[in-house]
Amino acid sequence: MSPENETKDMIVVRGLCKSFEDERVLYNLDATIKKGEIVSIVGPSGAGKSTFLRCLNLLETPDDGKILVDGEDTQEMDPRRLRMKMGMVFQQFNLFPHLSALENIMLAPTSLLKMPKAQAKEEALDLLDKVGLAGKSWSFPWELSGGQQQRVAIARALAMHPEIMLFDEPTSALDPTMVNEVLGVIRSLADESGMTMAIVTHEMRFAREVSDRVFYMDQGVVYESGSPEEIFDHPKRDLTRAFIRRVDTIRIDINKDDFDFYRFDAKIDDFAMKRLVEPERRQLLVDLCEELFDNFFFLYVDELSFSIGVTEKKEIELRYLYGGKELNPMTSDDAYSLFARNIIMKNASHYEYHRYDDMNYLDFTIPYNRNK
Amino acid sequence: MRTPILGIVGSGSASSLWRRRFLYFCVASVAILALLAGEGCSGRVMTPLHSLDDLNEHGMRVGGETETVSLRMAQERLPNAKIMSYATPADAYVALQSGKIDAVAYDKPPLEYAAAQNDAFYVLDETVGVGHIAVGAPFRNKELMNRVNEFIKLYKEDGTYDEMYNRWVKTKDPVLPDIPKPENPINKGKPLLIGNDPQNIPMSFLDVEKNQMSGFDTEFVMRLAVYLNMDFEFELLYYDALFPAVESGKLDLAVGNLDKTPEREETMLFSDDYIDCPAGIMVLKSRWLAGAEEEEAQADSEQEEQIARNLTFYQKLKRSFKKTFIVENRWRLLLQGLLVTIYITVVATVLGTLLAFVQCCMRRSKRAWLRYPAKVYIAVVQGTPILVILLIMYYVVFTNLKIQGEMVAAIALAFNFAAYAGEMMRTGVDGIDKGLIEAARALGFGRFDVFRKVIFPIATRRIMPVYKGEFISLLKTTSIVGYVAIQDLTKASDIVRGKTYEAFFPLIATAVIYFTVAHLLASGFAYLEYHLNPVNRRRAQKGQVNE
Repeated sequence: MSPENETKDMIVVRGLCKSFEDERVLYNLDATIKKGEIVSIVGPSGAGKSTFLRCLNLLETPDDGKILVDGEDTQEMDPRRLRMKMGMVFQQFNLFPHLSALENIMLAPTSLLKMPKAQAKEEALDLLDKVGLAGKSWSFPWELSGGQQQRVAIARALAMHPEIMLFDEPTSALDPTMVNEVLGVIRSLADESGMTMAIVTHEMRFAREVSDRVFYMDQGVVYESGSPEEIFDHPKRDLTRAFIRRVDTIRIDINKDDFDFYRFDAKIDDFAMKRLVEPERRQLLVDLCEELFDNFFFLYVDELSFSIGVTEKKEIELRYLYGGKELNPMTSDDAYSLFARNIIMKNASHYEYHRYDDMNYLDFTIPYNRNK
Repeated sequence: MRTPILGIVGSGSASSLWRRRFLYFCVASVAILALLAGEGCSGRVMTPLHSLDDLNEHGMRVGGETETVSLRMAQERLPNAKIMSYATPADAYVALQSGKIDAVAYDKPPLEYAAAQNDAFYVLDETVGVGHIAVGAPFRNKELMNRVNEFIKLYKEDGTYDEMYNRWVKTKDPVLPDIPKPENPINKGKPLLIGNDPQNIPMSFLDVEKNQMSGFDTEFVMRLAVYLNMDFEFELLYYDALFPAVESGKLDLAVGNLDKTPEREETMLFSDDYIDCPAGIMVLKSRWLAGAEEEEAQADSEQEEQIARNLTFYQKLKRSFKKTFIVENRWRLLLQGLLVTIYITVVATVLGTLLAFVQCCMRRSKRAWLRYPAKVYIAVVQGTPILVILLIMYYVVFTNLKIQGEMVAAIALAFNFAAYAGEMMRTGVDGIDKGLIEAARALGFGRFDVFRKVIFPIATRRIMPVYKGEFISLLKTTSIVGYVAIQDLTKASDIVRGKTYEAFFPLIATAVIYFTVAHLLASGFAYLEYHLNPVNRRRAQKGQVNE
């Protein structure tokens, strides 16, 4: 990358807000993507990743905020011109079913760029070759596998010579056996084209390998951003850490009045067993939950949300999320908090409390002891 | 050649598609011919009849044209018989011949004419009464009606009436005398519109050869026109449609066997009687075995049966064909009717499709004030019989507008077509995956281009099969336009039927013509469908790209 490019911002987002009915999806989001940069966007589902991407090319109209693309305010641009600069690849491929692969690719250049047919065809054939589908030009979408369809969709977006490519979970709808052929195409684009790219994905290893930068999105904002190493190996903030390290989670909403402990017990035991947690720690987990519910949480709160996750390092992470006034057993001095604190300190290797948006978050980790 | 994928097209290629459609056409035609061969089967018991009173029994059925004075008088004279109303006298004759009814009650002159044409019929000497026939007019034409009454008085006094009665009722092959139209009519350029029922030989009928009206009423009107020094035009309607046409003011005058009743006098004007017409009864000759005629009649009918038996099916068919198509060049009338049918169908389809498109857009609009009118429109049109819509258009909406009847019919049918086709389009468009539209927008297509390049081609292909069905159904629905004085194929075949006095052949022939046209048009759609299918397009154009 030349130094000139390094300084040039391709996409600048300031204070972006977007709600659907009562649900606040994006709230005051700031982000910057430089020219030629490959940015992966990761985060839990419902974090607003897709909405963010769709706001960039105005498929969704932002409620508030400013988006500059190549220095131009998108609100003042003709959306059609904006979208011609910005190719988009969808989770569901969305190939036009009445056109063959070749015609799908040629449609936009011939009608929007007024490219002569012969030239459009030549370019389309080149693109098909590039995505490894040279022999499929006369195939119709329903005759292609999911992976092939997605590759045609990528070629279709590229045919407009966009400066920016947006990928909205390009492999989420695919059979696992087809994920790699699509990722391979995106990877080679990232390596060779010099285009600016924003990729929403759940493929963490791919994101780490292909990206210049990673956005971790949560709570409607870019919660943390940095180089792949920073985000994946040394996440600074709690939610990022929880998301990156937690392989698998289960979330159970609990109401004090109709709480069925046996069912709860069976549920978490089953979850832990499937993730190969050894019997001793499963027993510990169940006992610990019971003690904390009975002797601490149910004395203060009626409803709480409990989630448990098992990390790649086999640690068990627990999170209690509850409303009401600030309630931190790790600092309070009443007898119940003291009791809870003792239990947590005795079993946990790491604990943390924070308050966000009028909610209490209590996290702690049960370590994996190799020697046991 | 590649086999089709997913069985989108059952056949392998275009040519085999046509082969298959032709085969299908042949099979259907054979089925219709088989129907023809089995003509004239009826389960009713045919007891012999000796007198008029034999008909006055429970279980007897007497039929005739709806609303006519003859039918009313027959009902008074034969209170025990069941009265059956038919739209045209020809229908009643057909019903008599096929044994559905035992007798036809109608004006005696046309019955005698029918009996002279068809040996199977016999007209009783005894009548059920005398009908007083008058000219009808809307209330606004009171002045005109006074002049008509003056003329009627005059023509009865100077012997013209008797001369005409002799000519048309007593003579065997009457010829319309040459009566020139007034040279300098007082209403030049604005001819009187006079309603007439063309299916009453010899009182009023269409001379197919000369393609003009003829008969007693026609001569009467021509003489009346000379007397009034006015120009006129005929509007040909079914008998029972004459009354509403006068009432609504669509017609200036109406002739064709109208008679006064107190009820009718509340809604329209009647002149003095201009014909006194006996109402007769006609039965099958084979059942009439009364008195001295018995033996003769029996011998006659046996002889006839013998002749009929000797004719082969093929010969019978040939005779019927000749009567229906060749005599009087009747095929020309039918062909004209067919052209009218096709014209109305095509205009209604084009108008209806445009209207359907507008309505589909309104229905899909985000604005309630656009959506609601479309919704109400669909509910109203779908919930109203098409015949009623047609009559409303003709008698209410377009009463005072000088607009071609065919156009009125096409508009009425277009309204009906749009209510259904619009909903089809909406289903076709709504069924398109929102993702495709988003993908097109994301490429940079504007709203109109998204529609043109993505929604339209996909939706068109999807709705084509149902659309084709609706189109064919529209073609068949045009058969009702005869109610508003349009000579379409059905009306033309009614007129021919009224002349041949035959039951089956003209009806079956009409069915065959409709079927053939429907089939040809459906084949056109099949061709379109075939080419809209992208798989076939690939087959045709592989190697050369069509965007």
